[in-house]
Amino acid sequence: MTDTSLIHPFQDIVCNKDGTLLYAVVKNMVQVYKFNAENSKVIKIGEWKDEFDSTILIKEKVIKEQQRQIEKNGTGIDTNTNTAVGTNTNKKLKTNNKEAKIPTPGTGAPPIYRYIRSMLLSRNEKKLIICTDSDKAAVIFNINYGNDNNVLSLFKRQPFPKRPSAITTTLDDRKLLLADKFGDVYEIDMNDEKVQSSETLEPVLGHVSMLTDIGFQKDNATDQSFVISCDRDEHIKISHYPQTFIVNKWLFGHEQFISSIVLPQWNNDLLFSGGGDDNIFSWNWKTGELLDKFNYSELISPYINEKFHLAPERFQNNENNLIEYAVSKIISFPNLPYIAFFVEATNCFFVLKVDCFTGKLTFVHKVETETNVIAMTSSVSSLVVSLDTIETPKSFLLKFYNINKNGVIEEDELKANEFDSCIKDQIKDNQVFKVENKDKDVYPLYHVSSLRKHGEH
Amino acid sequence: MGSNCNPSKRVEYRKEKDELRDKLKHIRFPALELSKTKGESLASEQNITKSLSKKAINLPKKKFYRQRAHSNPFSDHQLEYPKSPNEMNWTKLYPGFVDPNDPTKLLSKVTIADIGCGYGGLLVDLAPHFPHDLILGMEIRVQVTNYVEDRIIALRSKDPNGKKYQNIGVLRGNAMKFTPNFFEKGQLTKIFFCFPDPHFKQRKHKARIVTKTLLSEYAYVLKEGGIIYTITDVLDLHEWMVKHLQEHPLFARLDAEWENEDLCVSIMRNATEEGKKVERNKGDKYIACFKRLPNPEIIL
Repeated sequence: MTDTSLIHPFQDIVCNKDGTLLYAVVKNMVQVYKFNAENSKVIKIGEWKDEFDSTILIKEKVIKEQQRQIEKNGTGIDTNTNTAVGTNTNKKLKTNNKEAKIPTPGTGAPPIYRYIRSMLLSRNEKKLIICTDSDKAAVIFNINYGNDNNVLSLFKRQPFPKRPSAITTTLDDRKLLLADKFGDVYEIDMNDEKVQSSETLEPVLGHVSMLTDIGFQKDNATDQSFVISCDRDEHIKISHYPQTFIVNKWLFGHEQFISSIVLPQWNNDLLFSGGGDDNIFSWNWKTGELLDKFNYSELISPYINEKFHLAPERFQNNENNLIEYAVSKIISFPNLPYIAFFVEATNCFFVLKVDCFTGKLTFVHKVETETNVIAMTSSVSSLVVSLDTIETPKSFLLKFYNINKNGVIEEDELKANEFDSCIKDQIKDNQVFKVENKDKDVYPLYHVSSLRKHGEH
Repeated sequence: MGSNCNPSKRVEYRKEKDELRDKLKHIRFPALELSKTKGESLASEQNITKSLSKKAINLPKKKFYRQRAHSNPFSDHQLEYPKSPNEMNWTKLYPGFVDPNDPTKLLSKVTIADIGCGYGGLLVDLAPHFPHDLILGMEIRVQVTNYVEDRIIALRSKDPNGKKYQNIGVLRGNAMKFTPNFFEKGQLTKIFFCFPDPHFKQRKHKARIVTKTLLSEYAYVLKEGGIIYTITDVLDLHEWMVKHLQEHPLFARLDAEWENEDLCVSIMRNATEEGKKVERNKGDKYIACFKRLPNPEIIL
């Protein structure tokens, strides 16, 4: 009974550039909220739920395998006139003609999630892309700005062979590049409705490691384009595009997994990266030069807690005080030379100033939040965070901040209030926000730290 | 495991060899060794090497180093690798090539790599033919790497002039993940894939050493005109490697005539332990060699 009042936080959020639209994901649902700057009112203008039944996929597979076996055994009869073998295959055929049985997972099996993992707004803001868990697909929506009943209309749903982990688009938004947990990167057309069979898709590049983030950038001096992919093995790889078979370089320096990279719009030489290291790295990705490292370990230490940051038991030391933490996400602002980042399972975020000429990073702000930060997004001069409200159902799911060109950051309470009242209305009659069982019914909000490698032998 | 090898004997043998090897080389990467008292540790190691090199060391016995033939290239092994090629200290692997003016550097760079070198047969056979090239074997299995290391130590100690086998070295590593950590762009002239793990099951094909996406990384470390050599006794794997290499825009297959005239092909055909085993069993050996083409013009 007590659990029924729990509210699921937004596991991912994305803003459009001017900050008037906010796309937010709860479990298997994406919602679109519109902020009207004139009257400061917030309304919901779009929603989509992933109701894909993954047992269909399993059924397809089982039937296909059954057919394959029937075919195999069928030819066995034709070629084998031997009676003994003949009766044998006949027996098999009999059982195979039954309707395929769909295996149901046992009680100890891990639950099948139907969560939405990553979300991306295309650069021209005409399309929204999300990745689903249920069928390992990228789902592309057209955004119909006139239609305030539901701006989202499904354009295509392309399944992939392995679970997607990060997405980006080419600068012209014609192609979607999708990185998966198996280490491969695929490319699909954003404007062609045709869906390919996931089995016929060929990767355009790959790592022998789980991919964690992907970016796309152009060298303005040469007009050459590049895909930048990073993985759990400390690698940031830069490949030419569209000739992805030509590796341009690697950026070496990370000693732990990388979880987030960001390519700012205001200087296309720069790249920032972070993950399991104590530093945010600043690079000139064109030259491969490491420009600066910003160590945040002292800043974060007051926010480290035993509940989340003690190393897993089997990797723990004798004193039981081994702490592990990681950068969850880095973002840049579209128009200001600042970046912001937060560490997984902490209730604060940091803002750094970037020197556009040298790439040097300087600390400018620490902002504490009521509860842990789950996701973060930016628009022109503003920043939005999504907060973990599971333990505190009455508190705000979203907080808004304005940042000016001097790096002064202020909370936008008015916006937060307007959003909160609109969201709380949603929560009242939308079952998706409800958390029945805290252990089973919540998206894995803190999954970055588990990327840390603990070598076995 | 061989019936003539009891486990306790093996443990003892391995321990003894481990100690000797540790004293001699076995590189360690963590920064402390590279930065701290560089000169000091180098000097003491060189002394050990000198004192030990006076007497010949017996060749290692393979039966003490047996290990399962497969290793999962995706798992997080406790591997040691440099953060980048710049941070790699090669001096312990090739003491005979250390720059007399700078004991932290070598006179030349590794140019030949044997990926999955196994028990090191190819390294040993290549060594006298390429006295001025540094040849590196990479092997993911610990015990097998130790064997090759001990074999090189013994072979070097047997040469009274201390000149032979100075150009070969071995590293434990996952070449599929960390090749770019060791080699710079275009550093290698030859890469060998000899009798790689066939990974028969379809869902394990990504674990194969030659895949479409990995070839781009081998192409990165391979010099223009450099050669990829492949040999296997598994027809299916041979066809797979040929298909992927042929489809890759940066590689072109070399013809049978070329193969017949190439020294390395004949060494590879006859040298490796796997090759010898196949020979004994009168099995087939499939060879395919590919040249690294220049990068095409970049499309904008």
